[in-house]
Amino acid sequence: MREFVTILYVLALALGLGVFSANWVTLNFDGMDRLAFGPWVAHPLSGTPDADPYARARTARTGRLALGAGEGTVFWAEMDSAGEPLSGQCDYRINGRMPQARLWTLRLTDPAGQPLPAVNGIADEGLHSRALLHQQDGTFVVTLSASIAPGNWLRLDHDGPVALAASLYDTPVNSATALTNVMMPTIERLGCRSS
Amino acid sequence: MMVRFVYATLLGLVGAAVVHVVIILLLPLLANGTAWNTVSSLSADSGGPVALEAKAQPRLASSLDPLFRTFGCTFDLADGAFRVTSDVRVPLWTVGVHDTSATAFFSANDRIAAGRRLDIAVVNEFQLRIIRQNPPAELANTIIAPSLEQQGFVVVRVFAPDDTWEPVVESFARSLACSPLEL
Repeated sequence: MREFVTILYVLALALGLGVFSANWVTLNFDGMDRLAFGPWVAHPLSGTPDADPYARARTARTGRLALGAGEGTVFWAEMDSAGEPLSGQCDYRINGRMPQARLWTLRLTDPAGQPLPAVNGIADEGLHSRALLHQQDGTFVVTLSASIAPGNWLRLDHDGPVALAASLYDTPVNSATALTNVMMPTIERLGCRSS
Repeated sequence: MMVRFVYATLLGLVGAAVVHVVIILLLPLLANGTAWNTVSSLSADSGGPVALEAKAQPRLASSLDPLFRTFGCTFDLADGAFRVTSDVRVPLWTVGVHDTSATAFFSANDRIAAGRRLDIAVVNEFQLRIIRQNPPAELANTIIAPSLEQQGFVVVRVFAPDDTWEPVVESFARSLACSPLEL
């Protein structure tokens, strides 16, 4: 009887803890290739042959389709530069420059990366670098707000947290040598609407 | 009693580590709803290139850029080499060749293509040897993507920021062909 209870205990511990930890880690652990520049996070190796086993498991679990090294890299931001979560009820200013790329796009999503629901039947598809106003010093400013703003503007009016995706296409950021001096723009909160 | 409990707990922890590692390693092989599952179930119906759209395929939505049009084709190299082409020049396209675990083992963009036209052949080791020994003239400008696996899929992304680009992107899509390649 005592043997039986012991075996049961060992099996329960092994299966329970093993399944729980594998489940948790594929949902929460970012993988070993996590690269952060301020609030911006990229996983340049995920979805490539150099990905670690955790990144592979995560790709399988989420059903994601990563960009290959020759295609580009996506940087995600779920927080502003002060470390506060991005909220759909706040206004933000994105300021600075993107790393070198032939083309980049910037869009708003929910924290899972899904498109935000269309407002008044209009889905905001995002901005891209070929139709962007620049400052005289080559930097750019993008305003995220509910009401239209002069210059580069993305509409942000959403109940709940949001995320930003900056997709860089045909970029040397993917090669390890270029990673040391990557500059990403800052995300500054301007104010929030009280709800 | 105490010793027995500690021993059993240690054994359980080691077992948990083994279970953990096995699950992590098996997930890419066994998971449902991977990008491969999505693309292969779509193209099973049509055979040719299929449009991958955020609305229709919510599991892919986070991977699709709304300013791009995305197309997918599946291949099985056991049936022969595989070629993806489009004769229409667009300002920017990228191509990723993925295996069944959705790993992009080969990728490129229009800058490395001759004439900036999309022309890529996916071949296994045997087919690669045939091409190397006797290079066909028609493949002179073709990007060759060697594949270790027999099955997989190709994803083509085309920059299409607004309606004014629609005609050229539309003709690119019409010209896009995924076809077996005779060697």
